[in-house]
Amino acid sequence: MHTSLFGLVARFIRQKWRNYASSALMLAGVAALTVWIPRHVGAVVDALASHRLTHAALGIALAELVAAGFAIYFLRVGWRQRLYGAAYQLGMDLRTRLYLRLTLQGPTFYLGQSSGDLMALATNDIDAVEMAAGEAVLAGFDGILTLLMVLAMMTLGVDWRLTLCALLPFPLMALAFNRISRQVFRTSHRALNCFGALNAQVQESLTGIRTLRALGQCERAATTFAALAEDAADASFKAQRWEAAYEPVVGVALTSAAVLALGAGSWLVWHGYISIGQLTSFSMYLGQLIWPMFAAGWVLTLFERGRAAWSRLEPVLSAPDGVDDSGLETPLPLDGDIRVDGLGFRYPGAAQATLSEIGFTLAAGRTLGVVGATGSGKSTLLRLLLRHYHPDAGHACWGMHPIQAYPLSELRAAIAWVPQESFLFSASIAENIALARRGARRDEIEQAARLAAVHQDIERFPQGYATPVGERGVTLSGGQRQRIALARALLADSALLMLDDALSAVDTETEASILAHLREARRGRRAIIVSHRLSAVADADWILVLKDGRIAAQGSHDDLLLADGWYARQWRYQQLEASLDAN
Amino acid sequence: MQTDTRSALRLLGHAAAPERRGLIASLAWLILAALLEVVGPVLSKRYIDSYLLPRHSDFAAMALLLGVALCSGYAASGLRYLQLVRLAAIAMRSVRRLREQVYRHVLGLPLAYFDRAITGQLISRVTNDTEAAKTLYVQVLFVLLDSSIVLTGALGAMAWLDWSLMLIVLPLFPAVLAIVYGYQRLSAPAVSRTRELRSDINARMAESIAGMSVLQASNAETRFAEQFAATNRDHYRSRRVELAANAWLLRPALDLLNVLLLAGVLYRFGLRHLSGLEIGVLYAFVSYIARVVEPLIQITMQFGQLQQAIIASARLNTLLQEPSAPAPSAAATIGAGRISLSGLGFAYHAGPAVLNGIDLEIPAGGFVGIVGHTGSGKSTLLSLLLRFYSPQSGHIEFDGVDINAIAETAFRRDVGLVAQEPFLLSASVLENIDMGRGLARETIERAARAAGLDEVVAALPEGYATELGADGARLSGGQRQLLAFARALAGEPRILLLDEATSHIDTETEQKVQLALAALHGKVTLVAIAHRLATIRSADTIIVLKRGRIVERGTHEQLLALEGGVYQRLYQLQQLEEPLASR
Repeated sequence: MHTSLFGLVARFIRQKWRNYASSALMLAGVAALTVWIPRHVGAVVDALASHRLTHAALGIALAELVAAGFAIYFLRVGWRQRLYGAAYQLGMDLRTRLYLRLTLQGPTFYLGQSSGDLMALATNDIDAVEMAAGEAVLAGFDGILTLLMVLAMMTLGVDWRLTLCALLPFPLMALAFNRISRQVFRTSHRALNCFGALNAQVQESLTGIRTLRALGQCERAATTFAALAEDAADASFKAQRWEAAYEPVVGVALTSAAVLALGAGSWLVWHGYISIGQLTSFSMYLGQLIWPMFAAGWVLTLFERGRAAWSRLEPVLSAPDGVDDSGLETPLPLDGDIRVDGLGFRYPGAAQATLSEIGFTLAAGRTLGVVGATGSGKSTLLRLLLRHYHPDAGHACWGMHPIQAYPLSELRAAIAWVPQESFLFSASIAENIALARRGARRDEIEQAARLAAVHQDIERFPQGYATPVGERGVTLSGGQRQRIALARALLADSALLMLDDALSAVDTETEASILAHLREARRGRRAIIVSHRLSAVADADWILVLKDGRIAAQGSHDDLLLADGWYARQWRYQQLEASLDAN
Repeated sequence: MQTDTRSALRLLGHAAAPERRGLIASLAWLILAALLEVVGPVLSKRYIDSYLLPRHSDFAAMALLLGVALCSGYAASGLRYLQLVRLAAIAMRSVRRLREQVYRHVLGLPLAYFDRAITGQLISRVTNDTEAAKTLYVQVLFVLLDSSIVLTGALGAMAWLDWSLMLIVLPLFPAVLAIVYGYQRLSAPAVSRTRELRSDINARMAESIAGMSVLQASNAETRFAEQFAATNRDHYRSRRVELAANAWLLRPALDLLNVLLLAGVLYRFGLRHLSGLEIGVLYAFVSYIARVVEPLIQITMQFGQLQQAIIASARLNTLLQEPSAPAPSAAATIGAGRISLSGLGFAYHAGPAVLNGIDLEIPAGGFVGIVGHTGSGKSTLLSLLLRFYSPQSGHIEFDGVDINAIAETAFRRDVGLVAQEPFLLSASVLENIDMGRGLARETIERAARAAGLDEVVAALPEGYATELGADGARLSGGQRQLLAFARALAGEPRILLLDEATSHIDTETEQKVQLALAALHGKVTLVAIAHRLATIRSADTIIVLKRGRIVERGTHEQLLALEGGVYQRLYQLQQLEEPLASR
């Protein structure tokens, strides 16, 4: 399954062989015409020098030259579009593939990845692979082609002795290019790292600007920044200095070659081996040899970068699906009991189990409340039902079969989940509510928003339901976000509603009215309500009190009050607290 | 666009101003290098016309000519390299200055600006946009300067050899201008669209990664993948447009001009029925044409980056125009530390009022406790006292001076803050207390003792020199707050603000803080927001905030006696809390 960068590029070339083959032909045409021009100019010069050229012949010769110029122009435009166009397409395909891959991964995968790294894969690394498929292939092919053609024209068209003599500096130039390009790569890598450090410092200080300001630490931050900016400038300078080194290498090599050519050439002209026109074209060829010398190092660098990028990209692209979706039982019996038995789970790498020995049955039409201190495992329980993780012990069944036996999409359609952190996407409010039900009618969306007690808030925005939210949209209060997320879940109209402390930022009064709406609208369907605020679960048919991942107590609200344990104490506390918020 | 360009260039010119001497020296050396470079073909012409073609065998003179050509070529290359390195250094220093200026400016912006700004964009201003400005320097200094000097030199040499022939080269300039204009028209919209789509791709990627579990739970991941693919395709199309503009109008078009120019020169020669002596002029002209076209190509190749750099610099300019807070003219100082608030009212960005009609007098050395439920406006009041925001109505005066008239350094020196979530450096205890203020060891230890931190320090392996690790990982929540307390005390402030400074502290440490506060009482003006009412028990006055207004005020005993009052109920609540916390 694992492919190398070379394999990937080769496969892509086979797939896009028309683009690559036509580009190669066009490049060959460009190369042939490019070496023909100096030869042609040399012939014209000779004819001019010997006064053999008629006005008409000169006209024809120059027309040929101009025609060749135009031909080169069109061929160059052509190969660029074909070759780079194909490479861009590879980049596009890889990016879409990466995204699709990511949609099939579960939370376990995301725990092991930083989102910054994943983002870098989608941009910088795919760019590097794209460069390897476009720029590097071009440089490799065109560099070799130009080298061979120019050498052929020099030896066959002018003189092999002159060629040998004038080419003396070129191998040295190639060696120097190779060394420089490696140094450029190394130093620009360091420059990038310094830039990254600078970025991190700016991020840290601007995020914590309030603290900095209060402590009068801005001066200190500016000093730190200055030091980092100096490092970055220094690293950039070193990279820049190596890049500038190309200049003298070309200059020295070309000057040497030109003087050698003129010195040795004049001996040949003197003795009549070559003409002055041939010497002119020879000196034009020298300039054309710079590119192949450069291309050699360039190809290596691009391939190295591409390979490094691909080695990061490939594991993600070929990672297996994060959640096993091989269940074939269908349809999921929406009215069947949900039975959880002996459920236990430990997060990978955690010392202690987050959940153990959890059991309950939730029949259709019933509501289960789950309460407990922070870290008691409430959210994890919901996540196991959503199949974000696989339990280590016990099982959860819906109807006759364990939940893994059903296709993932059916299970997800049967559950509407409102997580603790309400997540809104950069889209309109209406689109955010209709996330789980594409093409929901406007009145359905509004109805869901009314149930979640957020309709009036939305109407108050100038653009109403069309108001954009997210990074570039309006700023919503925590309570508004939660209620929109709730409306989203209500619109999904699933058999099981799971609220994970989903009303924590909503005031008690609104919470009470939302819960009343829910009881009304979801009569006959199931809900699991996780909450810190006990008033949210007081009406539930059954309440689990979790402590350190185990069920510490269970029963109805009245049972638990009578037992006078954690639940009863917490209840009294919250009642008093609520009295402070009221009046 | 015009004014953008001008202001961007002015900004960059300003940052490079201290380098004027170096720039002029570089310019002079580059001109010399260009002269040395254009001398080469003139020497070749002399060599061909005076010795080679007339078969005038003066070998010493010929060798001398070749030797001079070689040396002048080498010298030109060497000089160019040295100047490019010098210019790179100038560019890096200028960017560093620009960066520091922008960063300092951002640090000094009013906090209200940060509420509106997207931090990511602001970070990008400081780092990416200055990086783009760097490109501008490097390109402007390197390429434009160097290329235009070589261009001028080559034109001069051509004119000197044969000025009527040189005239053929002149139409090149309007032609290049036309091409560049066309390129700008075609490519600029595509370039900015590609950039937009690219950041769109990034945003979608980041958002989807962050909200993947919600997407999956809503069965919406396939739909989002389709949307992502659509954006990706748009990005590809936009890049193809860019590619087409590049292909039709940049390198291939300029190479075409090169050939046309060659044909023009040859044609003029053909018309003249030249004598054999002039063949050398032709040889030199052929060499020069490459030297005219290449710099022009180099210059035009930079336009794309130039455009981006100018846009980035214009954005920087806009940012630098943002007025900073406070007015730099503020020069007053803080006296004994008397605080008076009158009719204070505040709302965040046209939102509902957070504070309303707050009147409060605190004598120098007084101690005021602020109590209230979440959202009552406590933290906002503290933010106003810290001068993070300006009140919409009413005044804050320290010792009868409006706080906006107090100089920033004096303000931060004399107003101390103990924040709820202390910000710790990954450095030693000593450095964390000192915070770059250069305090005497004696002062630091006295502050640590006063804050009750000395016992904590004594228990650390290396005492004050102990490294605390990233974000003070070695310390517990309570110890971190003690350290923040010591840090504030070390500055010997006149006014000390405490923001829930005892929320994470155990009862024993809490008593230390209370003792410390009692010791400060009368010497330093204290304003404390307290979650634990015990912290402010000994305050001269306690105010109770509710929905932005003062609803109760008095001493601890007076407020406790208010039957059914908010303070009384808060007190009862805390009595209940103790057993819950120690569960």
